[in-house]
Amino acid sequence: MFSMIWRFFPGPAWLRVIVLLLVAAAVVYALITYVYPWVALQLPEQEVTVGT
Amino acid sequence: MRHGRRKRRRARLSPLTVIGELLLLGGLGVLGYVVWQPWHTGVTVTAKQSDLVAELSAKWDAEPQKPYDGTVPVPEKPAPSEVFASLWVPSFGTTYANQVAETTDWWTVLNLDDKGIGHYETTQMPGEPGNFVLAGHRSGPLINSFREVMNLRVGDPLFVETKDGWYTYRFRSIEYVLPTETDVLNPFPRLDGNPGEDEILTLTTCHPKLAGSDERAIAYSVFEGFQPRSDGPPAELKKLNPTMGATQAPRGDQES
Repeated sequence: MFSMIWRFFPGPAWLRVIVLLLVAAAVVYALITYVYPWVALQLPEQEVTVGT
Repeated sequence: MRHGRRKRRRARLSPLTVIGELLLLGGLGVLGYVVWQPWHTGVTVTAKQSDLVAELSAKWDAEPQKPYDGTVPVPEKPAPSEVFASLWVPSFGTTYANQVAETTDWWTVLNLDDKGIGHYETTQMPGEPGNFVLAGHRSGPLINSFREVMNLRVGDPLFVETKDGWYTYRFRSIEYVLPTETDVLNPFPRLDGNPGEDEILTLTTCHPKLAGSDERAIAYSVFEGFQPRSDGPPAELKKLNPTMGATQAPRGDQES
């Protein structure tokens, strides 16, 4: 799969490295903006009140 | 043709390789979440709360003030989920400030990162004899208003800001109870009978930290004084909080 991704992008190796780093940055941004906040809502919260 | 183009032979992509690589990516994703969550609650949400509290302070500053006649004002009963106060606790972090809303409802107050601290609606308000009881999360992915509750030391100040002014409390003690022990909410915690003259601020949160919530940590503070808004924030808070003029945060072992 990594090899398929490597072959997916055209151009010389140095250009592929730059493009792949940009893709990785975009993925991390999407995780922080959309995925992780959603995951946080799915995790159980802990009770903090007495008598409930 | 001496150098014939040799066809590069590629091994066929094995499903095991794909599975292994997906597992690697998944592991990185989970690791990323483990890094993200404390950063989110500790930096992003904390900064958001500081901004919200500063905005609310500025809004209250702009409102016309009732002249202070020497009696400590009692805030009106707020509507459910209404923000009516801010809690400033230098022991939780020198710039710590967090809004306080009415009721301890799960999804309208406690879990929202623009509120996070709830006031038990059956308990008293600041400025009247009795017990002003607040609840907040100590860990978890959404907001951790009371994460540093164990940082409190006897004599540490806690400030409650309302539209009338500043109530100063002093930390007295902490105890760990079972969730069923609702007598911590009594007008005088743990005692039955009519409220006396004492004005208590009680914080309730979960215990142990990061390891379930089988118990509750209960922190008690005693009312010390009131300062009307026209006099500005208490000098002690200004001294401790770098956003209010302090040039250097005091060290943990320093006498204030």
